[in-house]
Amino acid sequence: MRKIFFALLLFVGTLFAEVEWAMDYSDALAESRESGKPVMVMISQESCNYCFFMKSQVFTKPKVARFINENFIPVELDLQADPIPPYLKPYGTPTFYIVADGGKKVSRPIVGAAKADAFIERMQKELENMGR
Amino acid sequence: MRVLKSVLLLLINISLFASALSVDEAFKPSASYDNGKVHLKIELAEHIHLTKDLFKFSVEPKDRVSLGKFTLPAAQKDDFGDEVYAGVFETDIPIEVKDRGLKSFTFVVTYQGCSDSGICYPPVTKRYDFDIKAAAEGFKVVEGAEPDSAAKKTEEPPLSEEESIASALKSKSFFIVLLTFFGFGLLLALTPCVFPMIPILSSIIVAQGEGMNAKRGFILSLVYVLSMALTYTAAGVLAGLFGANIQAALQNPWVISLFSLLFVALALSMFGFYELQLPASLQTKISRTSDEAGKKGGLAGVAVMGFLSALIVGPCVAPPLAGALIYIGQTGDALLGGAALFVMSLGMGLPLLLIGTGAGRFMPKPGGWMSAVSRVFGVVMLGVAIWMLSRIVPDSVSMGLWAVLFIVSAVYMGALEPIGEKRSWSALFKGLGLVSLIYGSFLLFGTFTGATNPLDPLKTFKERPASVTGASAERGLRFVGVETLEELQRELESRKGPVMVDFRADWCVSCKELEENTFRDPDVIGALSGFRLYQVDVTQNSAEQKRIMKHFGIFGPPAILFFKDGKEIRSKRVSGYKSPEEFLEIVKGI
Repeated sequence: MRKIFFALLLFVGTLFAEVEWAMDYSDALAESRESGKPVMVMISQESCNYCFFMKSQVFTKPKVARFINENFIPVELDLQADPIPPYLKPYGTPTFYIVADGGKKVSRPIVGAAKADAFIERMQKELENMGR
Repeated sequence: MRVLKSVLLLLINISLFASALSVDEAFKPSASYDNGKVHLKIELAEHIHLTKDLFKFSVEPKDRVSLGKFTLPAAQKDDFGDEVYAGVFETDIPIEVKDRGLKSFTFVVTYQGCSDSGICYPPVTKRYDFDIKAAAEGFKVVEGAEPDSAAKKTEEPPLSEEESIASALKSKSFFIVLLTFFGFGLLLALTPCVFPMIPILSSIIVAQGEGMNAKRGFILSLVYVLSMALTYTAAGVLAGLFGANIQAALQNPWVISLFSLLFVALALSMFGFYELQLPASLQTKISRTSDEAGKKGGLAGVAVMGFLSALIVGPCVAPPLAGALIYIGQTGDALLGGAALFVMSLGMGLPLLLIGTGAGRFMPKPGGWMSAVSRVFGVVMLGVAIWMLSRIVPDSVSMGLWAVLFIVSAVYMGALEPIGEKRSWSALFKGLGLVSLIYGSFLLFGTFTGATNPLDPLKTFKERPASVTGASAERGLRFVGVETLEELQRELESRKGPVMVDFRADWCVSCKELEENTFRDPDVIGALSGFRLYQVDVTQNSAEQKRIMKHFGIFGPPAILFFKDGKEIRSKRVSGYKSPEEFLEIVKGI
């Protein structure tokens, strides 16, 4: 019984530790308009170990997932396969941007991978810079 | 592997969002060619590394030059367990030149890497052109090397129909080229393309009437085939010299109308309204040069027919023709191109020769039945005339013409006359005549109810709900019309995803078939749902329209080009009709 309880708890725990990615960029913009939260764009690509690191090691941590879900509408764009909005000019992956007001306000590029605390700190700083 | 990576990742210490270098600062590539080898050197900035598994190498033109065997230098493992290079990457790649005549080649390398600061760069592709002659005699010539080895190693995309013909021409010696083209011609003869020529040739032979034998049949067919071949040759050479859009010129509404009229004239002579003959003075001249020629226009008339037939059948053989023309355009070698086209049309005409000769041999004694055969061919020729006209007149008009043809033929066959004494044959003809009459009536009926396909005159009744005014036109794909080259290029550059560009014209039969069948197919519509669709209408064949076609190296509609991220996928290029199944196969990999 106890085992099942712990298993359930663990399962619920992992559920909450998941970043709720939007389907695509236009969906993210629409959700952003409704909720008032800015979009967090992650530019990634295939065979990008650092993107894999972010997704498998950083975004799976409950505090990071919670931070992202509470503050942003997250969306992932593939540098090779997806259309990249013209106001985003990444030169590598992963690169993060915070996009507010449907693309009228864009943060500086946040380039490269980082560990959980550093990532949250940097994103918070960028939010403050944007006046949020 | 992923698990292993994850474990390793826990140990990584990534410097926080360090400002990284741009791609050009991170990788500084250079390449040189000497002694049969390309020496590639990539200087890496500090903290930058290249991933061994992500290297891609290839050489072009791929049928004349290939990569030799080589192994990349040993690499070190990075934090993720991948093999990577740091500092300066250097390697030698042997190049195998299969063709002594090759003057230059292009070496293509794609590489990708990351910075230790936590960022991965997009793949970079660099192309280097090397002059073989300048590199002196040291290079390795490999004769008869298996072409597969290169293809496998470099994973180059497969060639399209046009390109494979063009490349067959390039890589082989003169006579092999000619042989190949003879083969292409024979294959073409097995397609319905040549079918319209059979009644034309047969009617010529039948028209000779008495004095017909195998030898004469052979000579007539030979002249017919040769003049057809010469037409193609001339077209090929001209296209080579001027780069002109021959296909479109032949499809000009005026030219089509003229041919159509010519066929009507020929048909009427078949019905015995009058006899088509060359002027007497010319006839005597011809009869002097050839033993038996001259009775009814003779060889010159046959030659003219062969010439016209080539023009008529031209559009049907567009893809191989375009292939040969691409080659001629690339080399400027009008001689080889012309010869290849000549041989191809000979191959195409071989079955016609057999038919012609056979018709002479097996032709029974002339009699009343011959005029019946002539009339049948007359009807067929009228059919050809309508078929040609249907490219330039509204569908309802051509439908009406078909109806008239069927009904009038029925009357000629005696559908409305009593059978009388002689039962057997008359009954058969009357029966067939009645079928023709009824079909013709349906066609006429269809004409007034808005049907457009002569093979399906009652369509409007079968699909009531779907065909409410205008709806049928909207069921197909929705294209965005493009009129200038700049407009198209702008659109192509701004689209990241897959794009399809369709070149069509009102007078192009295959385009209509594509639009009626393939583009209406629900599976095709589904498969193209993620595509941006552009259409270039080249009906007028205006200067701008020609310019667009020339830019993309297209010889005429139909042509369908696929682009991804602004770059054309050459192997997917379509010319000519494709059934929904074939089309799906092509779209699948995009």
